[in-house]
Amino acid sequence: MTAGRLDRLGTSAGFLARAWRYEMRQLIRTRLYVFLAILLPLIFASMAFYMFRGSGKQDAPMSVALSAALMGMWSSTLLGSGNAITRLRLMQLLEPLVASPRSTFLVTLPFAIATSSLGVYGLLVTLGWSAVLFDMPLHLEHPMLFFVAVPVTVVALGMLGLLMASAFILYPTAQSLANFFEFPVWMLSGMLVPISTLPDPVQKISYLLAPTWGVKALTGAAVGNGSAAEAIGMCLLLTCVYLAITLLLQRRFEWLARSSGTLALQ
Amino acid sequence: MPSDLEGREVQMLDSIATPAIAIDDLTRTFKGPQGRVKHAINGLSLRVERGEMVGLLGPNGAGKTSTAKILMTVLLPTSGKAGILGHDVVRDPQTARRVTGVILGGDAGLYARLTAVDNLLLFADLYGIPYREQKPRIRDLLDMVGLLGNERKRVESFSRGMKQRLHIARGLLHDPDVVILDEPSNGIDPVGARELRALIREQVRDGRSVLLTTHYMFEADELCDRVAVMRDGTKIAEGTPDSLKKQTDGQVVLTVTVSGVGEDHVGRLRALPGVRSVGLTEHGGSQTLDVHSGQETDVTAAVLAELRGLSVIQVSKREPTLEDAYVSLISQDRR
Ligand SMILES: Nc1ncnc2c1ncn2[C@@H]1O[C@H](COP(=O)(O)OP(=O)(O)O)[C@@H](O)[C@H]1O
Ligand SMILES: [Mg+2]
Repeated sequence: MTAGRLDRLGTSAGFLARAWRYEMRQLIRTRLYVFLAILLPLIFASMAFYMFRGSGKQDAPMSVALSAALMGMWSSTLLGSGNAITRLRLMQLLEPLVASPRSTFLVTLPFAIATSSLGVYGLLVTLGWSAVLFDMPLHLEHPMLFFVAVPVTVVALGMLGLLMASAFILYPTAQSLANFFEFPVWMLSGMLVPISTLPDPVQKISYLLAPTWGVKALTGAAVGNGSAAEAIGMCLLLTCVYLAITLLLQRRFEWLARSSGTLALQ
Repeated sequence: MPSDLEGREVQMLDSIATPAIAIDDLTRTFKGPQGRVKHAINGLSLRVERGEMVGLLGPNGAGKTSTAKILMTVLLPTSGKAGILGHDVVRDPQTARRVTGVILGGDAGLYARLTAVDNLLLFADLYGIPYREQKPRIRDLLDMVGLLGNERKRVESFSRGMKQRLHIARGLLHDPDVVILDEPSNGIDPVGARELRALIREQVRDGRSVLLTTHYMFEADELCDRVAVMRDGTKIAEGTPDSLKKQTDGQVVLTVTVSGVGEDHVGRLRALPGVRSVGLTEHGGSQTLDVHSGQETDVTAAVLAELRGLSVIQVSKREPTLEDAYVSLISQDRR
């Protein structure tokens, strides 16, 4: 490897780390994101616990809490990456960033990772509140697997969010599109109802969504129902698939955005 | 051995012959209201040779920013070609990006919540500047643009002029051979603008090839070797600032302060014998008409006759200035 290539690699990693840090700092100061990532899962968890108590179902409290946490993580990821690109356009930074010799992918990646990392806080908060308010035992069946499952899920969700947010590069008005995907993905990935209760073709879509496997990986590792390792593997595989699609899509979208002139603030 | 030498020589000659910026018959259209097609750039051809600073001059809406954005590879041409050091902005944008310094004017375009240094560090990473070189390079640039001492302050607390100087530092991070500056002094107070021009002349220039867009003739005159004047997406004049000034040799300008002048008046004034061009500037309540004519004909009586019925506040005659040359160029009859 030549020195030039090494420098490029190093500075790419440097950009990711730096941009992630700045974005986290910025997000933590934003009330909306703190709400999405920390308060929202708490509200879901409370609702879920009361509903389950009323219906007398025998789900482990831990899986209820984890599903709720993942709903919050998905919301913050999906809205977060889209918002980040919209924010770049508003700040008129999209053009100088695209005009730099790095790919749009590298430029947008730290935003996706930052927003889903915020989901980790949400996860911890949900588990904490559930333990305090609903006497949920904080016991992990496979602690090692759990600690692998968390970052794998975060990255997988982040990549799916980025894939969808790529449309924002081209369409300044894609916000409503993102909002549209919030609820269906909760539904499809078994956060609200078990996947087995969904119609057959819909189940197939579920298996293409990282949150589906994220829920499985986290609950599998925490409660010990189902294979967490397999779910982690699926998350990794899907991450690679999303990555490939995002790269192709962004290249295409960058071209179309240059053609339509939508990188600029209008 | 000799053949190798020859090869190298050919390469060198080749690189001397390749202009810094080459624009050929460039067109860019946008969809306007009601699906109408609007030409932002219409058949523009322009060259910036190595080491040259060329001004792209024109009023608002002339197509300057669109041209700059095509060269910065954030906008695609509708037709025609544009290249930076021979790298086509459509076919090979990545190479073009590496050799181009992008300085977009404006209040925005920076991470407002970050400090000046953090802004520069992010872009240093993006431009692949090795770590060991980043800190000294950034220090040099901050010093050069006069922001040393403010580098740890958040950009949102910066004045318009400080932001513009940070834009310049960012554009020069990777020591580009070609620099594109879009209306750098727009919205900056006269003193700040003068300092900025000094900065552009001495530092940005520094062996680089520069395309600078502006709507101030005096700015182009002060900085540029050559100027191209654009109007409605088309190049209407090109040459050294001096040669453009010569266009008003032998002319006089009749200035009439008046109110109530409409487009129809301007049209009739332009049609008067001896009148070369007419410019109309609106102020709060009053208007200024600049009527250019040859020294040999006095058009005062004819002009005042056309303005009968309107309230004429003041009439005066003067030698044309540099700005008049420009106004005369861009307000000539539209063909
Ligand atoms: N993204 C866009 N969409 C539609 N019209 C545009 C867009 N960008 C520029 N234009 C139009 O193109 C013309 C030239 O604009 P511009 O290049 O910004 O001129 P200048 O920089 O000389 O003021 C203007 O009439 C402007 O309204
Ligand atoms: Mg402009």
